[in-house]
Amino acid sequence: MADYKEAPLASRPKTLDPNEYFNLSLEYRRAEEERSAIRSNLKLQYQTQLNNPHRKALIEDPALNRWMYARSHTYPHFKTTFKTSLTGLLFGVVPVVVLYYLFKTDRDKKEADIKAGKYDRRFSLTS
Amino acid sequence: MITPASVLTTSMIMMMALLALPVVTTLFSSPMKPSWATTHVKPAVKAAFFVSLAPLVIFLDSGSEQVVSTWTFSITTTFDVNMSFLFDHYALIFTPVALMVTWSILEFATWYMHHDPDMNRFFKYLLIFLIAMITLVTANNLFQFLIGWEGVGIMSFLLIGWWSGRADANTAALQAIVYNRIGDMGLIFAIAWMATTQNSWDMEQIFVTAKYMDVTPPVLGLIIAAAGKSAQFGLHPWLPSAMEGPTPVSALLHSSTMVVAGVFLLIRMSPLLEKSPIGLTLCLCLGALTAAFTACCALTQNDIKKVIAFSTSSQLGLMIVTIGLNQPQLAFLHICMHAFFKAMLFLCSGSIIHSLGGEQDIRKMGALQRQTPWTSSCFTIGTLALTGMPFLAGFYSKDAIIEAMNTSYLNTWALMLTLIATAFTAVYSTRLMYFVVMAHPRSMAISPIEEVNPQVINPLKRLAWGSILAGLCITLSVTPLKTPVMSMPPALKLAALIVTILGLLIAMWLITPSGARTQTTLSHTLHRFTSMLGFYPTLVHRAAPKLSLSLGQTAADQAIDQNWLEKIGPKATATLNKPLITTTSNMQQGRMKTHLILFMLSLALMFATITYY
Repeated sequence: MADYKEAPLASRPKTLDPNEYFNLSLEYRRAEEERSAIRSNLKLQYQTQLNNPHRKALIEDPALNRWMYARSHTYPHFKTTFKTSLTGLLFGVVPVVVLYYLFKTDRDKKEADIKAGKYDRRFSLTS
Repeated sequence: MITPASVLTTSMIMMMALLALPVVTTLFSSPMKPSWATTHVKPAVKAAFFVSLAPLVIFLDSGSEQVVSTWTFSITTTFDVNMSFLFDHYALIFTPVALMVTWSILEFATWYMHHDPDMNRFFKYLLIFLIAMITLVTANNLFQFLIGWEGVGIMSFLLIGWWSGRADANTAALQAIVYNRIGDMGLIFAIAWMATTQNSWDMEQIFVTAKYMDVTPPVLGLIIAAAGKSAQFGLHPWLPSAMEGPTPVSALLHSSTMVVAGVFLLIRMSPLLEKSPIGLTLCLCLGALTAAFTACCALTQNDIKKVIAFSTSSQLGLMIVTIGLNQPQLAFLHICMHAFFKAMLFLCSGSIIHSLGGEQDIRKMGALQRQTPWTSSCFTIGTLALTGMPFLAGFYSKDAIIEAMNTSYLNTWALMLTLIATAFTAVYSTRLMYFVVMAHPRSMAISPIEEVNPQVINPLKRLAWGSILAGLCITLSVTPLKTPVMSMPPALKLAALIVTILGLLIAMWLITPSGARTQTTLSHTLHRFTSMLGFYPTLVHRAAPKLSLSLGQTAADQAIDQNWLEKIGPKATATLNKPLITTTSNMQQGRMKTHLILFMLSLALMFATITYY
C-alpha cells in the first residue's frame, strides 16, 4: 500500500487515503463510531424485514420516500433568488422571445418579398 | 401463363409465406409441442431457402427483376403508400444467403439452446427477426423499409436481453435500443424530407426527382441512420455489448444480417449518395475511422465473442468505405461474403464455449485443434476468409475494395487507415487462432468437449463450403454494374495481400518465444487505450445522459414547471386576488345589509358594463 500509485488523471480512492488510517483524533473516532452504530441499526432493520418469511410487500426505504417527496414538492420551499430568476429567465423567457423574433423576422421578410414580387416560387411536387 | 417473371414473384411470395406460417399458427391457442422449434421452424426456414433459390437462378439466367405492388397502407389525393416489394439484384442474392445462414444457425441453435426451457419462444423471436429482415431487404418504399428497420431493432432488443435475469444483458439490450434510436432520428429526418420535397416514398420516384435537387440533407440523415444501425464510430459501443445475448443471436443478428441493414440502406439509396460528394467523403472517412479504431480495440480483448464483434464492426467500416468509394455493388458483395464466414466464426465460438463449459476467455482456452478438429478447422477457414486469403470468400470482395481504393483519387488518410485496419485484422485473427486453437491447453482438464452431434457439425460444414465457394460463385455469375479498374501497378494490386502478410508476420513475431515475448516491457498507455475501448464508453455513457437528464430535471422540470410557472400562474392569481377578497369581505363586517348593498352595486356595475360594450 505504501507504493500505490494511482493512474494519471485519476483520484485516489477514499479507502486508500493514508489520512483515513493515521493521525485520527478522538472526536473523529467517536463520530465515526456513532455513524457506524446508526448504520448497523438501519441494516438490522432492513435484514429483519428482508428475512421475514411472511412478508409479502416491498421493503420501504424511508430515505428514498423522503427524497422523492422532496423532489416533487419543491414549491413550498421555493425562493426567488438570483440563481432561480436567472434559470427561469434563461430557459423559460429567452427561448420564447428568441424564437418569436426569429420566426417573425423570417416571415416578415418572406411577406415583403412576396409583396415586391421577388419571392422565388420554385416548382415543388408537394405544394 | 407461366413466365420466368411470374415464377420469380410467386416463389418469393411463397418464401415469405413459408416463413410467416409458423409465427401465425402460434397466435392460435393450441398448445405448442416441446419440439415445435425443431419440427416447425427449422424446416420452414430450410424450405424457404430452397424456394428462394428458384428466383436466384431465374435472375442469374435472364437478369429479370420484379416490382410487386399490392395492398395499400394509405392513399391521399397526392400521396400514395403501397405495400410494394422490389425483387431486384440485391434482394434476390441477399435472400438466399441470409436464409442459408439462418438455416445453419437454427440447426446449431437446436443443440445450443437445448437446455433452455423457452427454446420455442427463442426460435419464434429469431423467425420474426428474419421476417423483418426480409421485409427490409425487399422493400420498395421507405415506409415498408422503416417497418423492417424497426422490426429488426425490436427483435434485437428482445434477443440480446434473452437472459433477462442478468443485469448486463438488460443494460446491453437497452444500449442497443438507444444507439439505434439515435440513428433512427437520421432515418426519419430523411424520410420526412423525402415526403415533403419529393412527394413520395417510392424509391423510383425519389431517384428520378432527386436529379434536380440538392440531396445533401437527407443523405446526411441516411448516413447517421447507417452509423447507428451498423455500429460506426460514435454509435459503435452497442455492438460489443450485444454479445451478452446467446451465440445464435450474435451469429444471426450481430454479424450477418441486422448490422448490415445500415449498409444495405446506403446501398439502396446509392443513386442519392452519388449526387452528394459530402456524403461520399463522410462515408469514406467515417468507415475508415471505424475500421481502424475497432481493429485496434480487437487487438487486446480477451473474450472470444468480443474479438469477433469488433471484427464485425471493422468489416462494417470497410463496407461503409466501399460505399464512400461509390461502389455499392462491391459493398453488397462484401455483405454476402461476410455473412458466411462471420456466422461460421460465431458458431465455432459457440461450440467452443459450450465445449469448455461456458468459458469465453481466450486466455483459458488452447490446443482445441486436437480436441475439436471440426470446430477448429472451420474456425481456421473462417479466419483465413476474414483476413482475405486468396481465393477464399473474403478475398473476392476485400481485395476488390482495396484495389478500388488504391486506384481512386481520394483521401490518403482514409486509405492509410483502411490498410492499417487490414493489417490489424490479420494480427488479431492470428492472435485469436493462437490462443484458441494452437499452443498448449489452458482450460479445465475435464470439460464436456464433444463434437459428435450432427446438429453442430452440419451447419459448420455448410457454412465452411459457403466461405470457400461463395466468393467464386457470386463473382463468376454476376456482372459488375461499374467497370473495375483493370490495370494498375503490381504494388497497388498486391497491397491488400502485402499488408495482410505483414500483419501475419507481426503476429507471429509477437507469438514466438524468441520474438517479442522475451521483452517484458509493454507500453501501458497503448494497451490501456485499446483494452478500455479508447475510453469512449467510459466518457460518453455517463456524461451524455447525465447532462441531458440533469438539464431536464433542474431547468425544465423544477425551475420552470414546478416553480416559476406555478408562481406566475395559479399562485399569482391567488396572491393578487386575496387582498381584494379579504378587503371586500372584511368591509361587510358580517352584516347582511352591507352585503346586500354591495351585491346590488356589483350587479348594477356588471349590467352597465355589458350594455355599454
